[in-house]
Amino acid sequence: MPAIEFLSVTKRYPDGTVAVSSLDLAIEPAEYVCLLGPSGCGKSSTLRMLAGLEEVSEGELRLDGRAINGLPAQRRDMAMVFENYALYPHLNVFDNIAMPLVARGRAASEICTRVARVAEALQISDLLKRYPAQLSGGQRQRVGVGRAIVRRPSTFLLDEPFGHLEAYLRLQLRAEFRRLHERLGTTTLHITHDHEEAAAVSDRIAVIEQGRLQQFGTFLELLDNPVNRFVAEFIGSPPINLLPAQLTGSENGPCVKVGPAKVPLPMARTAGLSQAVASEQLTFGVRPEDVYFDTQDTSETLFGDVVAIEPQGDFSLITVDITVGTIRAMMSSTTILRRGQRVGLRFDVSRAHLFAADGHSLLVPPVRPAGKAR
Amino acid sequence: MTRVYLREICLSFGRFHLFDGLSFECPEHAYLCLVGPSGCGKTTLLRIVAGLTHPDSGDIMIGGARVNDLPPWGRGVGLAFQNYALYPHLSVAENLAFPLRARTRKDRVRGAELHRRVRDMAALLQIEPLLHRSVTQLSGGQQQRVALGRSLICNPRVLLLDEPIAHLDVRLRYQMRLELKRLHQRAGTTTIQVTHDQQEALAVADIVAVLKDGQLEQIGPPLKLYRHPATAFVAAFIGDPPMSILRAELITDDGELALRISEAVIPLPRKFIRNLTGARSTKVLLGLRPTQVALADYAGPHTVAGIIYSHEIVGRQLELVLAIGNDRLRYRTDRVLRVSVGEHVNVSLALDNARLFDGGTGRCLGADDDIAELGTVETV
Repeated sequence: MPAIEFLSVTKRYPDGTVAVSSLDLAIEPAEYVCLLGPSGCGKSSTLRMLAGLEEVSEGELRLDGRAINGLPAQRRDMAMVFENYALYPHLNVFDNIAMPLVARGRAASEICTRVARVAEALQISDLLKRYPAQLSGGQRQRVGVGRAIVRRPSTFLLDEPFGHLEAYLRLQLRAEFRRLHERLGTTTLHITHDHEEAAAVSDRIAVIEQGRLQQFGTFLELLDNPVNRFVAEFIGSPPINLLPAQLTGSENGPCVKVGPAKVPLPMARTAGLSQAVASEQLTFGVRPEDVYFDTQDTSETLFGDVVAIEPQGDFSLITVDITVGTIRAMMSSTTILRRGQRVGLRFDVSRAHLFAADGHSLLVPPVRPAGKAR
Repeated sequence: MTRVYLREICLSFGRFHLFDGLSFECPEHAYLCLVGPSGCGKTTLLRIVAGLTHPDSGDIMIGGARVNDLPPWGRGVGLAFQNYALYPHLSVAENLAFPLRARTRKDRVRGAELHRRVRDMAALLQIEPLLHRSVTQLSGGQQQRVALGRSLICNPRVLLLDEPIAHLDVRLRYQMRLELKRLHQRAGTTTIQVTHDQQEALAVADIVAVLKDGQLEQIGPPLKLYRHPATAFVAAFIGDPPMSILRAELITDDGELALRISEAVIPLPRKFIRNLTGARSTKVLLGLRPTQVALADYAGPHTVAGIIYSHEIVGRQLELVLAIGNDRLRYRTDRVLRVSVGEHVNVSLALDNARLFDGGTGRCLGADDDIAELGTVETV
């Protein structure tokens, strides 16, 4: 039985705006799920309905199989962590973490033990006497998390928990969040607009756009098997290359025509490709890490001029101007390349995508090694 | 000559000394990025160049002349901030024209000349179709372009950008940073940009300056900072992934120099040995990128024992965060592994391309021998 279930849940505000539109989502016990989407996509409304801070307009919300639409927030046994920490400035770290236990009238000895254990897990044991104003952003966020976990809720709700933090702190904290999750095993719903953060911490990701669930799966499923163009564009960094394309045939089966190049598609991926799309303007999608430089001049090679080289470390991001647009490719930063140089490009079609005019994905998903990464 | 040079800048806020004799140079036509954690002084430094903040002492030189006593508008600098600061009641064209109209009567640009300059700027930024729209109707990326255009329209000698693309979504950020770089390639204006995002700095800049606590940790071309970080701080700050830093001790093992990390003793490659004369103590810091770490099948004399502290999915790879004593070491693999927090693992470390830093000062201990490998990617 799922721990949390949204059954055709809709959120409609009094002014008629539909924030969430008939959402179906089932989260397993002890699962870490991210709700991912751009601002205004409805992910916050989704979380707030689950927390009991917003009413469900239509549909049913279930916790451990039980409908909770009418259950007040304080009886849902959930703990929420916000972007802005919301710590009590006049209380020190110990008292801030202890607050939910004090409010429930727990014994002093129990409070001490539990706060100490939480502080140790979050590595803030030496900060217990300090006040929030004396802490860095990362430390404050840990205290916020400490206050949420100290009462052992059944569910964590995290609303952009790293939003305010600097990149290096986010990197550090996401490892802490994942570690904590594995140790506590608490079902977690985490909202973010950052796909790298979602990939790092979660088991599965629900991509939401305009109030509708687009896709629910592991990061690798979203990366290699996006159901539509929106998911393909929203996931992955650097972003996927999208180029206008048409479907054509050849003696070896279906091809995609991208600019002057004819890119053959692997048979295994073209099953179910209907003739209906043959006349449509399609979009060919290929990730920068699946673009290769090619010295040969074949019918599937695209030629263009290097317009920018952006070093990133071991790799550089190369932007190439072709007649129908620009393509980004990743290549080793030790490769000798000049701006203005003419280069040939080829694609790893086993990982490429083709989108119909309405955005839905047309090719059979690429074959991935069996098993889950975690 | 529009070299920007800051000499011996001191600035205190009460008893807090932010800059204590900081000097640095941005060469003519260069694109320099200032990076560092919040509070390092990068924005203050930009404001000092702009004339919005005055140092307690030190010289601000633009194009060979001391500009300390000149007001911001007399310094020939163009400014663009992360919040755009456009005039909401004006159109795109009026926003672009504003700096030209707002000048003193003598310098004021008007009539056909004004129109020509606005049109040229719109063409450079590819916003010609938007000229008559209200700026409130524009997307974030379009507003950013208008703000850039407004800072460039007076042909500033120096362009100063404070987090110009921080507010944009991921896809637009990639697009805008490329446009900034191409704009600089076309216009050649000496540019100083503040960013918190070191990946953005590596991508756009000719020169990256890393600041920490008001001090310059390192300044140089992007790949020099990545491959030859001058300090352990730069090593752990620059790159995605950055280097993991492990505390280690220099010891002699059977007459050969070796590193002791946790319980393990690892022989030190020969190339390090001649650089160790600079070491002040036996305490050193070892900097390693995930590619220099491998999981070992069993514990050997040169493997290091660790515990899986956490793990993440990064792109198509699995990243393990390992606890080695009190330090964290990151390792990445393409393999599909089932791992759990708390599991014991053994790793072998490839020291050949690792970096060693002094345990006290954090300064890099030599290893300049392979500096020739630099510049294999032409960025100019």
